[in-house]
Amino acid sequence: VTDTDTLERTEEQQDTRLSSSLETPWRTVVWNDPVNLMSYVSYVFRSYFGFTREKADRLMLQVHTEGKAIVASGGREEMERHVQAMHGYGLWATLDRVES
Amino acid sequence: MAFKRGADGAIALKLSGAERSLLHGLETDLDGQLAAGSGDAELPRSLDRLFPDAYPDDAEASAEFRRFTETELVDHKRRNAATVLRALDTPGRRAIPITDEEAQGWLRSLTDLRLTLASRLGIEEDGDEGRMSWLDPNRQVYMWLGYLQETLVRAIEA
Repeated sequence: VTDTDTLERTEEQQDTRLSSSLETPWRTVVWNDPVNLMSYVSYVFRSYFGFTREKADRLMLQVHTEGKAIVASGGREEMERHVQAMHGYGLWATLDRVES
Repeated sequence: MAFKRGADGAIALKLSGAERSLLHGLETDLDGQLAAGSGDAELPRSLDRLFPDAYPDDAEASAEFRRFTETELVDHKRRNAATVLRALDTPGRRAIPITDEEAQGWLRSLTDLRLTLASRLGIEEDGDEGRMSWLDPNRQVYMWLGYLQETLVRAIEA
């Protein structure tokens, strides 16, 4: 693999990411509730989304202190799948369109 | 009186006889409420918190989301309750072995129980449970379920 190849591939990846973010302005939001344990919420973020402990804890604390956190963004169908999964875990999740 | 991952690597649940029958009753009740909403029937309002609106500002889209997801979600939740009930029906008074796969059902069903109990107790915001009487048996059950779940999260990750 040469440097040029890598550069081109990186540009391709960026293009894909850019176009998908333009076509898919949806996001999954998890809201604070007084019932779910902090350890459980962090565990769900790690096991379902594959987040690191650091990222999962940061988002969990954001839910706790700010009332909500955006945990994913992308296509509408994908976000609906995430919301359904979160409801399966008993988390209070919604989806909405990213404000442009 | 909790979940623990033993030296053999397996998760086990130790409960007293009274705790076992209490949990059995709660899960049976939860499953009955979920069953009441299967098919075309509306889910009981007591389960509202288990099936929140997916679109906070769009009632129509939320209803559409429900049409496509609710049956499957009810089914999952009933299967989780069945997993718990099956374990609690294990004969004998020894610790109940729980596989890691079953533990996932336990995690979710304990959450469903706590959410329905919290609705009944009027726990709607952080700190609400602190305002209730320590002597309220429902509050004690709610706190106990939280403790159980905390030990389960720890055991799963141990």
